Amino acid sequence: MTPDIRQILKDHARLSTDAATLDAHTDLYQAGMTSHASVNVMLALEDAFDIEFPDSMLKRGVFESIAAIEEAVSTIRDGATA
Amino acid sequence: MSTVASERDAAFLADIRRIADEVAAAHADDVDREARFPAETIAALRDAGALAALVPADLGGADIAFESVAAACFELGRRCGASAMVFAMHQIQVASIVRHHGDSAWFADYLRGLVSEPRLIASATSEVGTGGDMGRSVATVEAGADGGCSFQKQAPTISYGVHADDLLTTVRRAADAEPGDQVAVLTRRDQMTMEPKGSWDPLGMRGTCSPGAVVTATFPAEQILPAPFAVISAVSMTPVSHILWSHLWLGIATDAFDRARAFVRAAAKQKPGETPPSAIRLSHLMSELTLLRAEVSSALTSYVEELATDDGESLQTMASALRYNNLKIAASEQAPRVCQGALGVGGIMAFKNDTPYSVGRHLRDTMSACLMVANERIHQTNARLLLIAKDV
Amino acid sequence: MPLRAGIDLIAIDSVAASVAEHGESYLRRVFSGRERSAYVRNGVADSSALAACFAAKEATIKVLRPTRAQVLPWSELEVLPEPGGRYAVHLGESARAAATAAGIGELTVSITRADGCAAAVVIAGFRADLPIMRP
Repeated sequence: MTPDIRQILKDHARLSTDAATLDAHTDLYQAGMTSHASVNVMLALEDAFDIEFPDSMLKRGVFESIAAIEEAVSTIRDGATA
Repeated sequence: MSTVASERDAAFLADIRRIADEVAAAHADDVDREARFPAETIAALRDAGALAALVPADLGGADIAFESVAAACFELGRRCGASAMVFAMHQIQVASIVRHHGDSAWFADYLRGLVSEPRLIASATSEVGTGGDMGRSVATVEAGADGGCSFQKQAPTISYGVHADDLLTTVRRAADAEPGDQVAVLTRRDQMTMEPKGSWDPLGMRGTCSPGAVVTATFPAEQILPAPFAVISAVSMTPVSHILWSHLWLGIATDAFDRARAFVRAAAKQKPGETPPSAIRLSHLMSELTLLRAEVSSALTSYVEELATDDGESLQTMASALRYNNLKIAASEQAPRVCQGALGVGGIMAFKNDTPYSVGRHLRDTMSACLMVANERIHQTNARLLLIAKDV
Repeated sequence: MPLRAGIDLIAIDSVAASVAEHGESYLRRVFSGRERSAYVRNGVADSSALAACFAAKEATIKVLRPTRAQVLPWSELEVLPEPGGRYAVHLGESARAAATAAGIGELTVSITRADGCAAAVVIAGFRADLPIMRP
């Protein structure tokens, strides 16, 4: 799953560093992802994984790192939404 | 629906049918021939309390179901297209005010007033210089020195404007507002002047008396509906217009079919036991009518369901906009097609204007449908929606 | 009297690109029904107005300073036109909760558009009856 997310970040997050080399816990906002870019990341994740982020998961923390995104995506895929 | 509510709706529809059959039908040809306002029918509707039908119970209104008002447009359409159109347009204005008056004490009082002293509401939503785009205005609300407001608008058409008590007008919110930043203002007769521009001598819907006018109005700010017109248009005015118009066009087409059928049955009596050729044409015509009936009925069911779900949340989707736009396109093309088919069935008896089988008025009235709003404009909107809509 | 400010700048093209790529999905996630009615008419998205609106939302978030765990959908921070060509911020339920948590009372926004960009600044005052939280 991780390779997909890094590619999505590469394409949509507009990071100042290469998404391939980012640590799983690096703060993406500090790495250059603007709020608007995080919207595009979310929409791209929804398309790629065929999921929908429920309103209850629209928190800044959900998109703050690769690890956080992974966890959110698997939570939704497992159907265990908050 | 509770028993009381359904009894009230049944009584409402019974009144409408009676007015349609006894008053509207009696004057329909004259209204059309003279291009005159169907005063008798509107007066009867006023007296029966039908103009305030949509006012909710908490404002003292009869709270008639939207489906029943749509059915009323159908019934009136069967007897007199112009009467039905005036009634439908008035109801579009009322529906918009009911849904979007928010916390306005003035509009709440206005709606209460409609129940006790019915007023006919016309609208001025189109404007010279906007190329037929009702989502843009040139005219604007001007603030007066004393805290009051005013506007002046050149409307290319105001249906039954000189016969109405009140007018709902779209204008820009303020002098420095964008063309698309519009509000709707309700002004009373004594707050405005309407200077007629041009004539009204059209092919059909002649009794809607819709020449243009320059409207000048002075009014207090509380008469501006609080919701932005863009919201009013998307949630209420557009879908309600398309649904009520489609019902009256269906009504006109249905009466044309009924006349064609009456003609065929009369012809059949001449040669008992034989099926006249016109009956075959009638069968073809029925296929066309059933398509129209199905589309109109399905759209009404969808709208009522959408309104009832999450307070009409889905009405804001592009799929919904496409749906009601398609209703308008389909009904506006199919209704005159049915009327023309009825002409084909009834032959010379349908072609002549003074027989029980005449459908000339029906055809001419339904031919207005493609023009209000121009279908090409709707196709342009749909084309853009199809590009970016999530679901269709 | 303590105040807090938030500011954001966004390229109008970014918004246009998101509309082109994701269409209604993007519009419905970020903007409320009232905002879409105001800025998307007849299938035409006014990217300039949407960008200004988004900048104002982000500036508001910077003022509210929600914690990482606070739920705050973008559509709950409505930015709508007002008389006189100004804009006002309208907070939805989650946004009001975030404001209360931060002790924020009134919000005022100013928007500008130039050179293909939209910018917004939001100034917020604190409520006298609530403690000021400084996360």
